[in-house]
Amino acid sequence: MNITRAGFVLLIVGLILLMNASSSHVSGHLSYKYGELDEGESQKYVILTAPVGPANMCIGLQRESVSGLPPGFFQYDLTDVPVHMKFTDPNNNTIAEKDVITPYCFDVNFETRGVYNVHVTNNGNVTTTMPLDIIFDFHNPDNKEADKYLLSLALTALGAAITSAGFVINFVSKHRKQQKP
Amino acid sequence: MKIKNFDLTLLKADMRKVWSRPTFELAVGLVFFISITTVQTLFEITTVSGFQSDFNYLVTESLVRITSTQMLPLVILSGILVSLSFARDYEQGLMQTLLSLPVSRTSIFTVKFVAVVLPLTLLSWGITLFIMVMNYFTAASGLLVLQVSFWALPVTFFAVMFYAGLASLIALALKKTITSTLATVLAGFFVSFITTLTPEVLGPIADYLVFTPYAAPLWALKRLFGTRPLSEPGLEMNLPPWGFFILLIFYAFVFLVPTYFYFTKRFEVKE
Repeated sequence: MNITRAGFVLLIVGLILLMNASSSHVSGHLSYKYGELDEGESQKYVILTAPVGPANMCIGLQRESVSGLPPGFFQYDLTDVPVHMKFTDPNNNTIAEKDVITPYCFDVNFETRGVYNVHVTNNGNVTTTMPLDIIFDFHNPDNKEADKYLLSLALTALGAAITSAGFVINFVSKHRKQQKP
Repeated sequence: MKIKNFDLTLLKADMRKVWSRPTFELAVGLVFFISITTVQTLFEITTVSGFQSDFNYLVTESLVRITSTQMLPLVILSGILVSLSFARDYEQGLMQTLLSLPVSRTSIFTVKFVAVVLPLTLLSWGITLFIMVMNYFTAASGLLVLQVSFWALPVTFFAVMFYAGLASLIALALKKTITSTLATVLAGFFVSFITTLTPEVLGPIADYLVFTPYAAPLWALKRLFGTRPLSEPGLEMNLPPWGFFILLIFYAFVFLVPTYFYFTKRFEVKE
């Protein structure tokens, strides 16, 4: 395979990836709830994510019941519970660690692909569920996969450069051949 | 040794001819475009206890989905490339030249078949591996992603062998490039179409569709990874993963063996 074809293949892959990375992004409200948390008990949530950018994270945000039952019907869906929370990135660096009252929402930025951990300890004297909610803006272009987008740009640029170089080399070599008697 | 070198030269020449511009570029574009659109943005919330099983499920499901969506482009590409390799040579009179060379018919058949199957398998698997690594490779999960992705290689290889075997049989029977390409693609679509039929249409026979050449590669992967069935488990659960692999090997040779014997014993080039 000559250099022009290799560059053209890279360009094709880069452009398709660019189209995919710039069009697909996460959006909306994602929620996860796992059992109840007793007094003094801890729970660890794992968020496996691509670098999808800014979001709003809520701990202990109790959503209204869709069944039409009155608020507080579910005895373990409580708010105003004191908790200790710790949020770490994939490199195990602590991004936030503090004592808060539920529901507690704060801004996060998913910059790296990998596993983020949310550690919550119930400091109240009640048993309650401790849902974790992550809210993304509705179709925010910043919520696309940053690393995939960068890779696509790099592949496209590299492909374009190699293809151009191949065309130039071909042109020069043909020109030289023509000049020779 | 001389013969082996000659075979290698023949293989290189055939690969250069079959994968000439723009076939390779179109194949890369088609397979990559179809594969990348099936992968969703990675975002999962889980607990520590459920993390490993959830991650395994996510990775294996993605691999099965990518392999599944690649099947149709592989059917189309096998049809086109095998027709370019066999039928076009016949149409252009190159087959007569090839058969007059001091090379056995077995070598010519093998070279022509390998020139399509090997690059197509590697192309498809390379794209699968690239997408899997790009989406799921992290320091903690790298080995698992590579292990899971490896299994797509034999599955894709046997699937491509089946379609290429079917395509070569059609190409040698029809001996016309366009006609044999269309016939192979139609046959491939038919194999794909029957797997979409429901028990309401087919009755109890529909349960056996998991063993068809189109569905068997995907079930081989699903059974190997222990993917949880979405609906009520069917007949696929009665066959172990190695059973599906034996079935794949059977499918890989089911058209290839008669085509090989036809080419080496009966195939004649008319003047």
